[in-house]
Amino acid sequence: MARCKNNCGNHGISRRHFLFGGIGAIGGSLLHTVRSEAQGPVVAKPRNTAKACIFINLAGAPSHLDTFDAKEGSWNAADLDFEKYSGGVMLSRKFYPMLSGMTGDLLFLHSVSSWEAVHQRGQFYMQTNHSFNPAFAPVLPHIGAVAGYEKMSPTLPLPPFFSFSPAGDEQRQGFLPGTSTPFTFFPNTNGLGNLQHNFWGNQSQAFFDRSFSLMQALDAPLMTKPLSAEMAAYSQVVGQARQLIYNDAVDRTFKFSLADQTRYGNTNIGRGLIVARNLIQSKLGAVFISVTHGGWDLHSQQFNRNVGTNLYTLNNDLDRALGNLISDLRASGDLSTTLIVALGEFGRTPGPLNSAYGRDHYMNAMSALLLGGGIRGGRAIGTTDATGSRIVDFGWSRERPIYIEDIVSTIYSALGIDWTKSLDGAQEGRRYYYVLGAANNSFGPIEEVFA
Amino acid sequence: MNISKSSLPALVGLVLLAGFTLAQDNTCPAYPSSARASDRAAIVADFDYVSYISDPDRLGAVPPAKNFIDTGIFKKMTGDGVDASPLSTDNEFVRRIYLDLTGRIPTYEQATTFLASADPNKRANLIEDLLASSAYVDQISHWFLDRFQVRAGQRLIGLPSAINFYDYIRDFVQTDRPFDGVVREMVTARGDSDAEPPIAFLAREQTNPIQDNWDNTLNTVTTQFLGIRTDCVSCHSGRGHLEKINLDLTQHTRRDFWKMSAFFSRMRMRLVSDDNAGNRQRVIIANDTTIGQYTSAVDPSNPGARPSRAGANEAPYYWLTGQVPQSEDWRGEFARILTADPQFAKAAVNYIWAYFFGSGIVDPVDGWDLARTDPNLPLPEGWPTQNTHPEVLSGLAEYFVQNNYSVKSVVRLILNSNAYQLSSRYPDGKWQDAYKRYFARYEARRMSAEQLVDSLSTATGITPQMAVQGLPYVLQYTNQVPYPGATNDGGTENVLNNLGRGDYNSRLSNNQPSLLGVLDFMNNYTIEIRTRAYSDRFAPQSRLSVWVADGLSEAEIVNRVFMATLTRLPTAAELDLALNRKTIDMRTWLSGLQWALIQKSDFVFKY
Repeated sequence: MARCKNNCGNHGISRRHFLFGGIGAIGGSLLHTVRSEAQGPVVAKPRNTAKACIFINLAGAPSHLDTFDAKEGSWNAADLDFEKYSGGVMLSRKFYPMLSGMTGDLLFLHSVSSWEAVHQRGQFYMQTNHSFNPAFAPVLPHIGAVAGYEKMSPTLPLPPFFSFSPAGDEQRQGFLPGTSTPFTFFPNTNGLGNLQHNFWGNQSQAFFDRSFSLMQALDAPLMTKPLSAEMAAYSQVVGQARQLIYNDAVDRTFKFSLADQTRYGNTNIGRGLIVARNLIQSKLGAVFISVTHGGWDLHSQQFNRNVGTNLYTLNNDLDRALGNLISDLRASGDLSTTLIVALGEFGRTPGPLNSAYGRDHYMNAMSALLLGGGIRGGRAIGTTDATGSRIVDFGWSRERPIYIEDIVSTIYSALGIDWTKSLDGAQEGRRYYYVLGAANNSFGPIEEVFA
Repeated sequence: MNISKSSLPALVGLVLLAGFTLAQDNTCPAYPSSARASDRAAIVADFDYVSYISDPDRLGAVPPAKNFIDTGIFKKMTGDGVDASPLSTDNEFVRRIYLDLTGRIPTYEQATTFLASADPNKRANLIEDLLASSAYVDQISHWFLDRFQVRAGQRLIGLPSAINFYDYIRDFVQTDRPFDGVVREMVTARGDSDAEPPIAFLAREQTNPIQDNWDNTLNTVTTQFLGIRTDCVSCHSGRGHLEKINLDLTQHTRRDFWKMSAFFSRMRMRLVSDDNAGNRQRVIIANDTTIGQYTSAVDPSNPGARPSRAGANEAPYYWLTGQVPQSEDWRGEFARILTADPQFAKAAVNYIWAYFFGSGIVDPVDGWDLARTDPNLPLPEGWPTQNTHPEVLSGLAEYFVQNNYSVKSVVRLILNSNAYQLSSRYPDGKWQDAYKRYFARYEARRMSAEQLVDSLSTATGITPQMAVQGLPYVLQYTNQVPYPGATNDGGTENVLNNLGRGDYNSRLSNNQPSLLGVLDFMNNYTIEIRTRAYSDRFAPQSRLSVWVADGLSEAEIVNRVFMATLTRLPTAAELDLALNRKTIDMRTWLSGLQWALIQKSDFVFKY
């Protein structure tokens, strides 16, 4: 539970959250009234501008001042080479040599606030769009699992939800069916192991096909009359696995060249975005790809290049990987139908650095980056003050900070998913809401982001 | 007509396998084929449950009751008109009992011996043999270690500490020491964590500020030993939060939690390092202080993950029974009060029940709502009971206490019941999800990652050789491994991870079918290598390759592979398929068959 130090007037919404289980469950809404908010039920009209989403988890929580919401100030290193761009954007060209040449594509959200100040809770909230609760954590799905559940193709071979280099264990499908399970692995040039048989030389594929057919013939009685629902689900997964094995198109999707690896950077984010690109371009069924770029928790020595992980390495790695991803997707014509989102779990302390030359956790202000699939770039929404500590202009119609619920509603809308939806069957008959508070319009997509 | 166990063979009839050759067996001329044929006939290939369940006099009947577990389970079923599955066949039983008690399927020899035995008490005798085996120690120790999640490298648990804890648990399981005594040792452990094994259980909760340490410890203790996760009320009172989740906890406040956590507030953990660089730290729990209590004083620069505890200044109070400590040794008093609480025994037997049946009588096993589990208390409006079989649960708890908290005594009672021995094959088309709460059939579920790998080892005769730092011997079965990642066998560790084994840190184990797990089980080098009917530079001799090398007939080999892998003989249709290799070379074909059998549902699943 985060400690809310400001009075609620600043936020416009009480930071108390209703229990998982719905708004009406506990004696009426716990929300304060918010200016200019409709109170009635909302009819959602998803924008459906993206076929897939690449979600970049900046794990550790980057400072907004040292990434997307730069300000002139004595705290900056001397070599950051800031440049102002139209639409209220300022970037360090030292940090972002590639991205600073692509600002037309980039939309920055400067007026975001986080509910949490603790990593584990913040990461959980960002990845599941629900407050961390030990009773329910195991059944709450990742937003990628929800996206996969909604948008999974019945015919294409790949599972819909991918997770690369995950941070923590929030990548789960929770109570959703097994088809929403994240496909987790660590991208490398050799691709995905275990997509083919060994030991039989050039007869391996024939051996596999023959043995698999024999297995299916032998297992037919149990597949017709499985002994439990779980057994039925298992056969489905076996069938799904079969589609991936000895499938050239699938195999190629997971492999990449050394040249690509050099170009994107031989880093988790670099390799992850190469395979994300392949997944998008191959159009074999991927809907949501979560890639983690961790190490942002710089409480100390953030500008010190002698420390292995510092702002230069983190930002440059991101720039090289994301910049190349954008240009590759543009070249293949996929950028306009792929939503790309990058954010961390909260912001970091504004203004001057702390006594260890770093920044600490900060909930009140943080930034996010959106581009691609339906997004109009070349600007920033919202403004913070000169030190990055308070939001002075919210920049959107709800006239309050943007929260993760709004960002996730935006992602769902872009993917063509009704963000006000809810499902039965989560743990002893409770209801699962995609976005708590969406049905009565307390949260919703940031319509201003769309073109 | 009541179907008693002894009349089952009359219903089943003799099943002679079509196409099975009865030619002279060159491998054992002294075993005439006539004797072989009649022994074969006694090994039932498949139980004729169609006849059994369609007997109109049988519908609505349940098997006879062998103990009070059966009485309770079957009385409720009969009263509510729920059918039971038929009793498991001997094939089903032997496979299941080996898996549950040893973590791996029976070998070809073990299965054949049991199936051929005419001893009317063979099931009970097999249970006794397995309870006395070292494999039982492997499997049940592994089950406890999985619950306590102690691993080296986590918090301040160093390697000696983790290995000592592993040995400690194995010794407890082997000697079947009273469980209440073991829990008291764990709760009151003190000394150097390297030398005092139970400290690892407490060291796992070490964190700052110290109040979070106390709170984490209390939550782990109530979860594991009372069946109640209390961490919800460690952050906020129940009221306004838990009305839809846990009615009993709704009545409790954060202060109640602090008061119970106060039992740990005199525990002092000191961190020491072996070297100046602090590379290997460990914990020492010195003798607890005799003054002080739960307070809210924390370092403001590190307030911890929980909301501030403003005004907390609490003396210990055990809210379940209203007891307070009778001496200054608060931890010792807590241990005494905890293990004397009737809820302790109930939670313990409920956990054991859930291990064997797949779900507890009270479910989830760590979510007891004490407002809904006592049959003498009126149920709150609109809420179902959480305790589906109160007499069975209370009976088991009393039995546990009377037998001096012997885990084996409860295990023995459960396994010998007919309720446990029901088949998973329910009468066709009649199953409803609601019957799960009656335990009307054995719930077919995927084996754990360790059981899959170890069963593969048993079926093929090829085990990994896993060295563990800190253990002087090499391990062959994965349920012997102290904690995930402890071995040097990267291939096996990787397969286990892909099959959903947890990490004893933040990832819980997950036996649900997964795409990565299936891909691995199909194509991973370490799996595939064992299915080959060749012994060459790639693989040592598998059982299959030995049978081929010995010149057994192809049909005999197929029968053995089925028995070794699926703990049954092939049906006539399966035998036809398995012998239809056309022009494929025999060894290649049999490798494919072995591979196909381990991918089958009735290998991967426990049923």
